[in-house]
Amino acid sequence: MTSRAAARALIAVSSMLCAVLGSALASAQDVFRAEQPAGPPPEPGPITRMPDGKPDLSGNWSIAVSIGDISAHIVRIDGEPVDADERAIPYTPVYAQLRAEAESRAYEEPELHCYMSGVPSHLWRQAYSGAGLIIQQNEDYIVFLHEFQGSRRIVPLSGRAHIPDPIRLFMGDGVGRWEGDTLVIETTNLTGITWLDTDGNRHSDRLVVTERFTPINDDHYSYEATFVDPEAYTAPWTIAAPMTRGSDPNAEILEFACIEGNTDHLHYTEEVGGSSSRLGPDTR
Amino acid sequence: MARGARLRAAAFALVAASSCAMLSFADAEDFSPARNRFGQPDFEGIWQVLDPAPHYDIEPHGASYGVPAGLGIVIDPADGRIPYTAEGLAKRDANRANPSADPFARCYKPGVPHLMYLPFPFQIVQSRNLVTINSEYVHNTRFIYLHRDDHFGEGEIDLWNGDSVGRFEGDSLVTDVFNFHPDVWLDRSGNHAGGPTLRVNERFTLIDADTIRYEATLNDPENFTQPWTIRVYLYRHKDPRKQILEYECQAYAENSLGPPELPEVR
Repeated sequence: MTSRAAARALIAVSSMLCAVLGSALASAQDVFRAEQPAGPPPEPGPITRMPDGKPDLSGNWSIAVSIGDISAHIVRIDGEPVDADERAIPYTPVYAQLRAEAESRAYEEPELHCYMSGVPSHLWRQAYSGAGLIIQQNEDYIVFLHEFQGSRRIVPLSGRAHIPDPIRLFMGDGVGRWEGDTLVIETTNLTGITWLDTDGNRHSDRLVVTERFTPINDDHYSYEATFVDPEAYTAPWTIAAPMTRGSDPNAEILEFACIEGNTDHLHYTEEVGGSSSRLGPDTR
Repeated sequence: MARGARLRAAAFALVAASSCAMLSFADAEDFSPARNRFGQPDFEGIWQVLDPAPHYDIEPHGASYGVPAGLGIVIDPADGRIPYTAEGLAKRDANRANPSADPFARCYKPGVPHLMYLPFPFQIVQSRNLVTINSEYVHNTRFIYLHRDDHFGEGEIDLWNGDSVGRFEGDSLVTDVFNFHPDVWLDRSGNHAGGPTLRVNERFTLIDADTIRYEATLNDPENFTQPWTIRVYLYRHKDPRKQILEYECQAYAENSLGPPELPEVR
């Protein structure tokens, strides 16, 4: 294949992937995950550290969470460990109904509108080019960069107070602090717009996500996220997943153009919530 | 591949030529910037132009309703005008006659160098092999890769912000940006630079701890009769509370798409 043809193919594939949302992507992601070797748990070992002695998470990573149904990764509900058959998000009645209506609310799917993916699911969205998640870190900030929808979080490590409540952000206001070698990030000020996964699990704008990144060795961290949202959930619930360093330290993120040329939302009928009156500027 | 090699050789010659051209603009500098843990000059921080005028028109222009006057940011040629070819000028005029084609009006990525003088702040973050420029404007992130010095493809890939590779040269960060989408505008007046033949070479230089002199040389024989250079100054935000928030343009433009209307449950 010539480089010209390859470039065209890349663009064509990206466009198609952009247009095909939902379960197809979920299964593609699962295939990607299935290729990772399943072996014994990683052995504890030394880690790279910053000049101030804190763990250095800089580099390329993948976190093994399916984009399809986040509830498959639940490990605790209300602080109590749960078995595999008890993994269900403890929704309030209103949000249980909202979740049940996901199919008829397909037009609300954020990616359809090129919105950033929200917290925490942007960390494990699908990767089209070499890198999925890239982390940059200095002593003041940790930055999470993801190709899909260009989703990005710049998190101060100062433990400062959150920004004023009226400010609502697709990627929230994340504030980090160190508890020993564990990086703890608490994210507030989210919108009620983003979804937790492509299946349609939801949250309100009262959601607080607390994530914990704990080193095992330099290539393996354990990841946990706890969800507290009194409007959407009757109890806090927690997911956990392994976090693995990518093999190529130079893996790259390619520009993700979505708004530029997005016509996806034009194809949604009123039965799934589509409405031409909701369209923004001409993006064709 | 021979064609690729030739193009790359030509590209490096252009980079070298434009670097020399830019050096001639450089003032004598005594300032030595701090170095980060990788030994790189430390550009980290939140930066922004003070003058919004270039966002509206990068050439010299008087004020009009909603548009502040500006001296222009083109420093070469000396007349401050973009040295368009006849074809380039015709495209500029067509753009000017069709403001609805303005990518900024459609919330599109603004391109390089336009991203650097938007009236929105950006945060620079440095790693060993990567510099990112994280703009508040529609989560535009520039990835400036330091581990390679050429580009994938030969101009066929249309990237709104281009493919950026960079290196540190003394106390400066210099970049080579290529693979542009053809519809990129330089400002809101229809001035343009984009497409497969455009190369942008940037130079970021700290002239004191809180000021970056930013220069970009644009070279595209299809649209310009000669390489030409802009210069703006980027100022550090000093408010310790300052942070990059969000301006998610198309989300605000979509009528009524906010949090979901909640179902009624008995």
